[in-house]
Amino acid sequence: MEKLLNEQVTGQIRQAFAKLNNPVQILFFGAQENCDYCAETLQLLTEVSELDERVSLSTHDLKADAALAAKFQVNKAPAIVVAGKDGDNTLDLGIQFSGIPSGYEFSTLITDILLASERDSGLSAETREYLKTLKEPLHLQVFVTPT
Amino acid sequence: MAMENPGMIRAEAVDAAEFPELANQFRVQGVPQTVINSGKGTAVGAFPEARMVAEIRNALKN
Repeated sequence: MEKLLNEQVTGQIRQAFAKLNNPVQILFFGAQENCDYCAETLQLLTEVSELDERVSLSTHDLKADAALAAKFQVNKAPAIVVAGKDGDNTLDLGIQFSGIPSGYEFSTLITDILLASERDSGLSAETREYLKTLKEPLHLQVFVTPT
Repeated sequence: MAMENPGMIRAEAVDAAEFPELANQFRVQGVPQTVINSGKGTAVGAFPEARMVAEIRNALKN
């Protein structure tokens, strides 16, 4: 299959990934039906994960791996979870994409991988303090268009 | 934000074109649009951190 990422882009990503601190685990969730962009999303993630050994990719099916999907609160396909990796453990960081991260959203994906590796949100002390004391679950859905 | 408390917070980027029903449900018209807890709050546009926290506080009432 023809590559989705050209050499210029892969060069830039390699350069960004050179700064990776902790390993990152990417989980792809696909579905057998009604998933126009599953194949393309998986190919994109495969090409990205091949650029650095500290970025791992695992592939899952929304139905067949329902328990895992539930654990990460994934209910759509394609979906991507960007998590931390600590040995064999996957560290849930609460970061998820629903849909293919193409166009502008591709840089968001790369940024999220860097954040997950750094395990530092970069937020102010005040914001961090507030978020740590939440008494009810918070679900932030940022609607975007990839183009 | 999710990283600060992943047990409580999920941050999800949703492709509005690929999931139009969801986008319609929350009346998404411009992007980015942040929907807080399935519509308890909504913020259209890109906001600085403090403003987003204010929107969250408002939606959660604390």
